[in-house]
Amino acid sequence: MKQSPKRKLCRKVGSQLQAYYDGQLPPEKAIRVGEHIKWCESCSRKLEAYSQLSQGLRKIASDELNHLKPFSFWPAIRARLVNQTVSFKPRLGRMRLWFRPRPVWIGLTVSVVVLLIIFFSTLVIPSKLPANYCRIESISAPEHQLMIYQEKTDGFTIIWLLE
Amino acid sequence: MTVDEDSALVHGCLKGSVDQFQGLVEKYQYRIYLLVYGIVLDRELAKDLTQEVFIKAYQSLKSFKGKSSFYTWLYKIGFNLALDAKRKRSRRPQIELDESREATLVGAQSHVQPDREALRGELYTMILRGMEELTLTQRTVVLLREWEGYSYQEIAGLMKCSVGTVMSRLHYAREKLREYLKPYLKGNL
Repeated sequence: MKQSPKRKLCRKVGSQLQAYYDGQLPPEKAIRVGEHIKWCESCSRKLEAYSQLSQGLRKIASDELNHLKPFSFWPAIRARLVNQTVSFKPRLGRMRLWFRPRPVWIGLTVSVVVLLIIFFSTLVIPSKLPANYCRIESISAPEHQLMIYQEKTDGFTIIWLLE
Repeated sequence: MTVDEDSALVHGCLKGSVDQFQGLVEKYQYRIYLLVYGIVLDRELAKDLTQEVFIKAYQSLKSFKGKSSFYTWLYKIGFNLALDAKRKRSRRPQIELDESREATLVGAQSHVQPDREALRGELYTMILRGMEELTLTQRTVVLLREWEGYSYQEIAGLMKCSVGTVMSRLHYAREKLREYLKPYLKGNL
């Protein structure tokens, strides 16, 4: 069944009624809606309902504020803020979160330190570290200055040659 | 107080002066209370939450960058806290009826025609009950429009949705309220 032009117009205006009521329609559209509601009972009743709702809501807000005033939230808020230690010092933020002590970091650090000690312990400066034991087959020419350390262990005589 | 004065007070607070926060509290406390009350519909809870909003705002002051107004930033804190509080509570009638409103309802149930004032009081009470029937987003958009007077664009910005969505939510909220309140609206609208 075809809708009458008036009914079609009513549906179209109906969708704009709310924006008209809230003053959010462009002027030319607002004029058209204003003209429509002069003769359309259905749309004007809807508008009246919006108006009553708004009045009711405003009255509720007003009642609530009258109930509340002259109460101020400040004394209670101040008391809580003063008791708290709120610091606005610069924080490292995320970096600080990452670098706070954690077991995994401590474990990793200790492991790295031990490995470094072992690694550097193998890089012995000949004059300071003992060589593996060996049998001396020959001694080089006297022009070489040698310092010989002897230590007995397990029945073997170990001679360290240091130069 | 202007927006610049808000920024100056925030700056003062960040330097460690708690008392600088007083100006901001006294300026916005009632608006925040209304916002929170509109969502939770419980006076005592709304009072507690209003305090929490400002405490949390003070603790988070460093994160206020000044990109929006201080109230917009404060509103978001209030909205989120109220929403969380509302969700934690079980769904039950939240409306606090004071004695005068209860008497009006009792009177309305009698066969005597209630007077104009009584009918109006009943309407307001029923509006609150009707608000409880709305979804939280519908309720929020109604409050922002009716209590805060924000435009559709401003509401869309606050709720992070389109203007069309705002209009749609507002439309459905009002239709729902209109349907709920039909017996109470003048002329049965």
